[in-house]
This record gives sequence, C-alpha cells and structure tokens, in this order.
Amino acid sequence: MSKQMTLLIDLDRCNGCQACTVACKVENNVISGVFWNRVHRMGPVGKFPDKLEMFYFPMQCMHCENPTCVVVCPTKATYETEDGIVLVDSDLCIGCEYCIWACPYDARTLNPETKTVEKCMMCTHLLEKNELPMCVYTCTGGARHCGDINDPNSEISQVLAKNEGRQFKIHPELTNKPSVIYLLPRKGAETLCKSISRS
Amino acid sequence: MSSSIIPLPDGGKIVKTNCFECHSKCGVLCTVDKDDKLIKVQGNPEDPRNEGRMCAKGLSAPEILYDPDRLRYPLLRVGERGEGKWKRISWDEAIKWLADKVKAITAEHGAKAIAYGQGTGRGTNQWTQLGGFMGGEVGHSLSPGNICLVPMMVQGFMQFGMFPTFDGVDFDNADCIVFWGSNTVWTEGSYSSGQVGRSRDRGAKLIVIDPFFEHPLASKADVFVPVRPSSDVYMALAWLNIIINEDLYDHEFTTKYSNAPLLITVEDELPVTLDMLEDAEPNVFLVWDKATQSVKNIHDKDLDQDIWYRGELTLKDGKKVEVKTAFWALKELADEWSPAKAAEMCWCEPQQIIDSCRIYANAEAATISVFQGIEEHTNCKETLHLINIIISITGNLEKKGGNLSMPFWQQMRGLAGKPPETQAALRMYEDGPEGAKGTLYGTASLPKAAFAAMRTGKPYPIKAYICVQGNPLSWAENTKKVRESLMSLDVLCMMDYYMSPTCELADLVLPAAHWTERDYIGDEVCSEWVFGQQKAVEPLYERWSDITFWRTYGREINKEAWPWETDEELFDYQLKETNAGVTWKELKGKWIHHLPPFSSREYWKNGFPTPTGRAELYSIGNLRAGAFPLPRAEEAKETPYSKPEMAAEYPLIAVTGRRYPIYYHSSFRGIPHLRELAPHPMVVISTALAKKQNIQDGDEVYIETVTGKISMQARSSDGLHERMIMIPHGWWQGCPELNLPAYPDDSANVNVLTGDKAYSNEFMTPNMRSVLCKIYKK
Repeated sequence: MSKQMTLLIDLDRCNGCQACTVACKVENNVISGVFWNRVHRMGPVGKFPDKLEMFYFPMQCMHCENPTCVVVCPTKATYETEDGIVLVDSDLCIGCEYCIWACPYDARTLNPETKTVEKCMMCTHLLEKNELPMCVYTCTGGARHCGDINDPNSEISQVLAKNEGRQFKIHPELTNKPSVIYLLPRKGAETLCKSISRS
Repeated sequence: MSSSIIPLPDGGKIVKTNCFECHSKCGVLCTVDKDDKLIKVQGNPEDPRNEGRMCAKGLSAPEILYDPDRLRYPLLRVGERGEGKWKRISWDEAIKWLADKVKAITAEHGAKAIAYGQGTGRGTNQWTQLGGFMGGEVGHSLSPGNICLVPMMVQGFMQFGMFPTFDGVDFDNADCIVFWGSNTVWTEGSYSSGQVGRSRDRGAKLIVIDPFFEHPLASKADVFVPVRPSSDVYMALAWLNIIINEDLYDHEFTTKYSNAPLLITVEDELPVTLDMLEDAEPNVFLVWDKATQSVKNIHDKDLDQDIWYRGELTLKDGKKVEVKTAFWALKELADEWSPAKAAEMCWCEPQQIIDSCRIYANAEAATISVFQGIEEHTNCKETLHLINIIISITGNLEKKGGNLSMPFWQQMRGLAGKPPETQAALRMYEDGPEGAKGTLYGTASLPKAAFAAMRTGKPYPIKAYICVQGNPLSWAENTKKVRESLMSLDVLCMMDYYMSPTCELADLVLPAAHWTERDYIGDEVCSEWVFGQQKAVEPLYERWSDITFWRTYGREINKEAWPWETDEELFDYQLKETNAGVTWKELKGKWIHHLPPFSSREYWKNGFPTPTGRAELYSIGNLRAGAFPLPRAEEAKETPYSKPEMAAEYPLIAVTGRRYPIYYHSSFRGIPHLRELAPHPMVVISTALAKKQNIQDGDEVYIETVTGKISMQARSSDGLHERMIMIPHGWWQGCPELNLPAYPDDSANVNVLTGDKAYSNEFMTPNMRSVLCKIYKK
C-alpha cells in the first residue's frame, strides 16, 4: 500500500492552548490574518451547570485522498505528493480561489500580499529531515500525531489502534476522502460532536 | 565547547536554555544563526517536564526579542511626570543618578522611605527582597505576592515546612487529578497539560472545581463542580466532613505523621504543653498514648496514639482541664458542614460535592492543583488550610501521584538573609476587624498602605519606588489610588521590556534583557532540577539582566549586602548556599542538574520540619504568628452574604484575572500573532443575563463597582451562573502592526474596579476574584 502521511488529533487531549496555531505561524512565517491552523472553541452549549458541552476543535487541511482542490486547480499549482500530502506550488498559483470554494473544510486562505493561496503543508520541510510538523512537536496536550497511517507500525497507527471506536473523519461521506483522523472526546461533547462526526 | 551549545555546520548554533515567558521555565532549544540572530525557539525534549512541548508564549520568543517596541536604553525623564519626554542616558549615569537620589532620600527620611518591588519575579524574588533588606530598616516588598503564590506557599510552609501544591502536583502518577481554582494547563501548560492527558489516557479521574465551564478541562471532568467564587471554603469543609465521617482518611498517616492526635483544650482549642502539667521544657506538644494511658511528647517514637482522645488532664496547679485531639476539633467543625448545607453556600448540587470527594478520597493516589481561584479571596488562608488538611489525611502528601515537596522552595528561603530587626515595627499594614495585618506575610507591607504612604506621608513617607518586571498600575487593586500614589513619589524607577503605563510615570526607565539575551539560574518551579538558563544571543542595544541591575545598583548602596562583583559570582553564591552541588560554570555547561529531594520525601524517617515534626492539621506556625491555628468557615468579605446592601445595588459577582493561554498577565498584546487570537478585552457574561439586559455579543458594556467603572466588549456564554461575570486583566498595550488599540487612561483596566476595602488578615489579599458589580450597555 502506498504511503499516506496524515495527522491524528485527539480532541480529548486538546486543551485549546493555541500552541499549534502559533507554532504553525512562526515555523511557516504565516502572515497576520492568514491561518493554516486554527483552534475553535465549540460551545459551551446547554444548561448551566450540569447539562453543558464543550470541546476544542483544531482545524487545518485534511490532506484528502481525493482532493477536490487538486481537481479544480487550473494551473496544477495544487497537487498531491506520493506521500499523500496536498501541497500548493505558489509559483504556479494564480490566486483564482477555485480551490478555496472547492474545499469543504475552509482550510485555505488567499494571502492578500502574495495573491496566492496558502494552507497547511504538513511542515514537509521538517518531515524531509525526519522531524515532526511543528504543531505536532509542540502540542502541549500531546493531542497531535503525524505519520504514515498505512504503515501499521507507525506511531500514528498505534495510537489509532489503541483508540478503536473514538475515531472519526469530518464529512467522510464526501468524495474527498479526508485523511486527517480525529479522536472524539471521551466525554463532555456527545451531542456537539454528532454534527461533525456523522458517518 | 560545552554540551549545552551545539554548533551547526553553517556557523550557527543551538543553545540549550530555558524559557522565561511564565513560571514553568520549560527547557528550550534556541537556534541562532552565524550572525547571532535568534531564528527559532522550540521545546527541548531532554527537559523531563515539558519533553519538547512548548506553549504559544514561549514560541513567540524571537518576536518578543526583536519587537521594535521593546525598550533599548536607559531613559531619564525630562518633562513633567507622565508627560512622555525622555533623555537617553548611559547605564553608568542611570545607576549613579538612582544611587544619589536614594542616598539623599535615605539621609533625610531613612531607608524605610525606599520601597523595592517586582512583578512576578520568576527567580528574582530573593534579589528583590535583598534590595528591600539592604537599607537595614524594612523590606516593603511592594509586589503582587499577596495575590500570587505567597498565600499557598506560606500556608504550605506553615503546615508542612514545605510547599507541595505548585510544581509538586504529580500529574503524571495520579489516579485522580483535581483542579481547584487552578488552570495550569493554560498557565503552565507545557509541564501539566501533556501529563494530565497521559494520565487520563490510562484512566485517571479528573475533577474540576471552578465557577466557569470554559475551564479547558471542565467538559472532560468526571465531576465538574460549579462553585460560587470564594465559597470553596465550604466545599472543602464538606469534603472534610465526608472524608472523616465515611472513614475515607488514611489512618496510618493521619495518626502517625499528621498532628491529628495533638492535644488541645476543649475551651479555647489551644495546645496543651508538658510545662502546663509539670515542670518541664516549654513547647513540648502532647498526644495521648493508649498503651500507657498517659500523655506523651508528640516527638516520641513507637507511640500508640489516640486520634479520638477526649478527657481531662490535671494542671500543675491542680486545676483540671478538658482536652481533645486536634482531629476532634476538625470533626466538630466539619460536622457543621454537610454537603447539603455547603452546596447551598456554594450554589452547586450536594451530589457534586459528594461524588467529587469520594472519587478523590478513594483514589489510590490523588493530587490537587490549587491556584489563584483560591488565593485571590479574603478567606484564602482558610481554604488553603483545609485543602492542605485534605491532602494530608487522605495520605496523599509526599506520595507518588499525590502532592510532593520540591527542593527549590526550601532552598530559596534565607538567600536574602534575615529581615532587618525593625521589620515588624516598620512594615505597614492595617489593623482592626476588617484588618489586613499580614500575620503570615511579615516580609512585606500591605501594598495599599505603602501606596497610601506615598500620597499622605503616613505613617511615614515613602519617597522612592524601585521595581523590576512590575507594573502595579496593572496588578494592584484600585488603580486610581495607585496612580495618584505613584504621581506623588520623588523617585520612580522601573525596569521592563516595554514602556508600560507604570514606566510612563517613572523618572528612570531601564531596559530589561529578554531571557534569550541574559544569563540566569532556572530555579523556581523547576521541580527536581536546576537549569543553566544561559543567553542564546548577546544582549541587544543596552539591555541588562535585572539581576545585573540589582547587583550593580545594590553595590552602590550597600556593598556588604552585595559582595558579588559579577553575576557569575552571585550565581555561584546561590548554588553553594542552596547545596545544589554544582557551580555556575558547570551548570551552564551541562544545562540541566538534578537536585537531591527534600527531607520530608522520606517523612517516615525524617518527619516534617514543623514544630510538631508532623504534617500540621493544627498549625502551630499559624498560632505563633497570630493567625488561627485551625481553619474556620469564613465567608469572604465582599459577597452577597457578607455585603447584602452592596449586593442589592451591585448584584453580579465578577471574577477578575482569568488567564489567556497566549498572554502572560499584561504582556504581549503587541505581538501580532498572539494579539490576532484575542484582539479585544472581552467580559464574559451568562447567556441568561445577556438576554435579560438585551446585550449582544460584541456590544460595548460598562462594568461598574463601588470603586470604579470600565468598559469592554461583552461575550455571552452558557458556561457560567447568571450572577457571575468573568473580566480579563492586563489590557493596556496596543498592537500597531495590526492596528489594534492600546487602552490608555485605564479604560479597560480591570483593577479600576477592584476595591481596597476587604483583605485577608493573614496574607493581605484583596477580593480580586469576588467583586460585586453591575453591568449595562454603553
């Protein structure tokens, strides 16, 4: 089986500290107003004090197996690597924003300065050196993992195996086939998560 | 080259050092290029605490280092105070100017007219204190110790002779983790957040006791207990009730290693000592020995102690006295606080108290993290005292997975030497029933009183205030009065990263070096380790380490107090005095050094360094200092119960000072990639209140108390009680790059709202987390 590099994010261990957001900005020199990675606070919703739900939800490119952004890109600036990572070649990007419309995950932003589209590149420059993406490296809750999900011996596969039953993908019903895997919070977000984890 | 600096092929290097953006001092790797430019900061996997993890603040270090708004040179005021006109001067001139002024004031008013202080310290505590002591009259220590760390640290020392509720919280080995008025996964996230997650993965239970469901762990908790701010004291009493009456306490620890069996009089609950019964040495505390049916010295070995003894003893003069054990006193107190009665005061459900307590007390090893949600109340001593008792009698003290001693907290004591002999006579405080005497914080003056002395000259004038890393216009209660006070000074000297609002009022502003540009010892909150917190780059412009400043200036005033000619000599003194077993040069070379554990880690051999040699439920230290030796059910001084008339006009309870994970107090609103994540100060109100007062998210609202009025944007949340609001602190700085505003004139400064009328008598802590207020649309 070919390689599929991806992220696994355990929502039970995300504490919303925004270290990943800032690590991504610093590592990749992402300008103000553009985000390759964001952490949303979902909730709290419900009735105070004991019928409440809340969780933190990190979002970035889902590095889809059938990425629509690649299909719609007129200049082939957006492409998928052999490792399953979706990248943008900014030299080829003309800023037409078709990919922004095509992405179901709101993962892409037009950089107003360069007029090209940007998004999470899975820190490929670090992966090439056998280092982890900065968001994974720095995550204070230890919620983020990165690796080849098709390799059963990889750390990411082992974390997934240990957490059978908690994994979900966002909009798996779409033809995109997102590769990024989330683990549901163990508690405190049962109804909140239903909307994003239906499968 | 030492192993703490790794050369890179391109001529650059990686420097192992420690972050300083908060207290936790995570191990970091700084990548520096061949031109001595700091390129990148990331966590160091070799630090056993953060294991490579690093928060948003620490990751921003290069941005903070090179921020164009940072101070660069010493500046002397040339216009009117606060006018913003400055002259650049050299460090030599600055030190001489300051020393001359201080000497002149001292000649006229005495050294007591000089106040020294700091902000959060994070390792300068001992040197700021030495500054205060070096005049030989009084250390005012005009710092926010009363609202941060001192209550929980000192109460720990009082009861255990050590401090087990900060870096001694053993998240990694606990079977139950309690966050009680504490959110260290944000404030010291890199060494708590990962550990908490790892422990929960293996099944550890989680309890969060907090007024706000937006605590990042509340939704994940096995039990979330939504308490009314400051009512934690009743919650703790109900826990104690359950633990004693459901027999959930650790019999062996409680009997042998706590002073539960200490004999006290029934009438006034004071200890019975041997010299009351016979001619004997003073201060021999007693227990009842079942084997011999007699009283014995609490320090004796092989006793068969009775923690439930009640009886009558005959005094030397033949009179009889009724006695009981300290444990009886605790039971009698706790029996008054059933979960139902406590729940009524806490505004929660009895079952939440019962469930949380049983999970904690039944866990094999359980740990409690407490912090400012407990500290910043006028009844903080009582709650902390009770929590320390709970940790003790459940056998979780000095237990793996419980609450542990850490060596630094003992070692740092005494580094500044003894306070001047006139300390007690000259320190400023308030007496009386609503008093703020500071019975347990005698090394400082009541900040309010010291500020008043600047304005009024009473009880004697304070003419100069010299402060590092501090911004009292942000941290101190009742900002309006603080501002007036600072305006009345002859000399205000501030050392900072930025031109803070307090710096703007100063005569002399000194540029502080960032942690990446100065050498330091990484000591406080470093658990079992001490670190060579070496610089990564040479200091830019003319920035100095605050230690260099204290030492250089100190030597101008009192060379005997500051014998060290270089910072390295001072570091060596600290390392030697604290028995670290390493020199500065060695430490810098190896970066990390393990310290021997504190003696009470083997309490079964060494006991605890307290007057009774035990973990003190009944605190002899408190008693001797003039504080209550047993906890009491004390309602805080500004609540709907204690101030019903005020509450009629100001019905809401404000919690101030809730943290952001991306800012440290008032720092870093100017760093664009942090500011864009929290661009505006926002008060959080309940959805119900928002509906009732027709307040939409983003509406500007006024928040008003008896003390003052500010405005902020409102955001509604389902996560809090209708009568509570959450107000952030530290908002003054703008972010020019993002065109986001500064907040001059204290327009969004929460401490305009906090009052200077209600204090903890023991720790001089104002009611910052329980402020009666009202809110209305602008």
